[in-house]
Amino acid sequence: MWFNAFRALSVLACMAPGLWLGFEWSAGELGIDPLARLLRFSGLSAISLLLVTLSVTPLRRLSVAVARAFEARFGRRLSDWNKLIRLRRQFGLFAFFYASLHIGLYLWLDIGFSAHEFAHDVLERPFISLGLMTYLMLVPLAASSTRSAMRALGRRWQALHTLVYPAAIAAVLHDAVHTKLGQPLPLWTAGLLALLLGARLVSWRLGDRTPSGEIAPRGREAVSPSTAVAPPSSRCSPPSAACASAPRTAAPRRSWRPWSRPG
Amino acid sequence: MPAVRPSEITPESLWQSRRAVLGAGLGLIAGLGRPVPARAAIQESPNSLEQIGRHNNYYEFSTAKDVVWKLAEEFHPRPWTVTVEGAVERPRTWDFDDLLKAFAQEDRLYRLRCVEGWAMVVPWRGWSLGALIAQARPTSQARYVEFVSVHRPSEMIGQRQGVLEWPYREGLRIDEAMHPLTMLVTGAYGQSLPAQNGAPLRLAVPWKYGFKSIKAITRIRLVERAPVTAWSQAAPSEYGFYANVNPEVAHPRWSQRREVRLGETAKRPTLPFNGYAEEVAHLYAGMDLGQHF
Repeated sequence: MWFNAFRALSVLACMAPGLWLGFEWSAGELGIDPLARLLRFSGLSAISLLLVTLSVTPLRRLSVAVARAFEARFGRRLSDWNKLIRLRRQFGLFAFFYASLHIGLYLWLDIGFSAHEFAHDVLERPFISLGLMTYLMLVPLAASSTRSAMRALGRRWQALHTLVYPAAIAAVLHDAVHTKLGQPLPLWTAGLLALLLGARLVSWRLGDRTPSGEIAPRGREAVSPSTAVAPPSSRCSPPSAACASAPRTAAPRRSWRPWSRPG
Repeated sequence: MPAVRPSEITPESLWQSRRAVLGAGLGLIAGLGRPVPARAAIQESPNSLEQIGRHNNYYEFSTAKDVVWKLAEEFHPRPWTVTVEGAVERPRTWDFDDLLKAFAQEDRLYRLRCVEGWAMVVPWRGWSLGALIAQARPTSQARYVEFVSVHRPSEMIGQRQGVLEWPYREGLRIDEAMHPLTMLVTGAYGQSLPAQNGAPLRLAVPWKYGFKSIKAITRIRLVERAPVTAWSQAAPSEYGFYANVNPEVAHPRWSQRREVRLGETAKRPTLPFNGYAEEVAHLYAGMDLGQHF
């Protein structure tokens, strides 16, 4: 119930930048350099949503850590953040949507769909080749986001989706390379990305290879402490941990199925 | 054509209608001995005063173009002196108001092409730099002209950071400086120059990238060797001494093949010498402009 409301809100939040840009455009309010506004806004929306996508797993791990620290009813509640995983695909697809908008606006308004201009840009301006690389990495991720693609790819789906890390790094570099000295925005996006990737590195070094730990249910005869601390690690692989389920009990799991979404 | 005095303030709306009347002859005939070829008059509608005054590359205030106009409110362009010195027979430190009295001001519609790939059309007010230099009687040693901008970190907040080496410096070859298109600017749209556009005195060299058109000039020095310029010092691989608008010389970040006119959404192709090739291309005859970019 709460989660559904939250999900609806998150969809609105993902759509907001696009709606805002559309409003500015139709109202003639894009400012003195409208093309720069269109390109920057769509690009920044894509990078922001990419960062949101990448923050889902660290937030889940955080929720588990907090839940473990407060082994109380309250802690169990907090571990409900695990549901965040169900929003990750939506965030990722919106990031891809804004990246497509960004590159589409560039192809249309900046180079007028000219292959000649495109070749010049890719060869002469490194940040454009970086942007192109970013987009080429995002395409297979978006294409393989359906359930049937997940099923078909099996374990290889995990491997494929580690592409999101080089894609995010390339996206932030693409922005930073052509931004002037003294402009703070790329420092923020690069800092956030470093934080999100660093969090993965830390949990990987600590041996916590799964995105979620398990919380012993209160008031019931529960699992032994060893199982609670060391969750079944075979189910998720590091460091992307696209584990679709968020186990809270120690019930033995069946085979690895990323598409299964237990409530 | 009637001479237009700087004291006559023309509102922007009036300007637009007056342009329609004057047409191609707009302010380009100078009483300075070296008439500009008539074709230098461009038939394009100027950008609005708001566009010209709210989109400024002026690192002395900020690297962000949209805030310069606000930060520039702290700047006091008067009193102001300009020193003409170096290889000249008659060096002189001019009071700015004396300059306005000594040289007839005229209005000229120029394209401005920034190295960052945006462009605008500006009705500048001013006069040909050549007249001021001729007045100082350059000697045979005067082969280049060096321009030095103001250094006033108390009023220019961007100068408190070393983005560039302050004060800003620019330079021209003497024949470029004496070319009738090269203009000292004291106003725009018939009004005195806004602080964010380089008040009280700036350069307009319409066939070169905008950074050559130095703002807030305090010193004009005639020299024998090519002067060090701010941008070629900061990034010599990206910005050369000549900096002629040239779609064939690529920049690693901005496209030099295309430009966006402020207010427009789609780009248009960039012209060699920013469309002034007929007037200035002969200055560079025999030079490899890919080498001397």
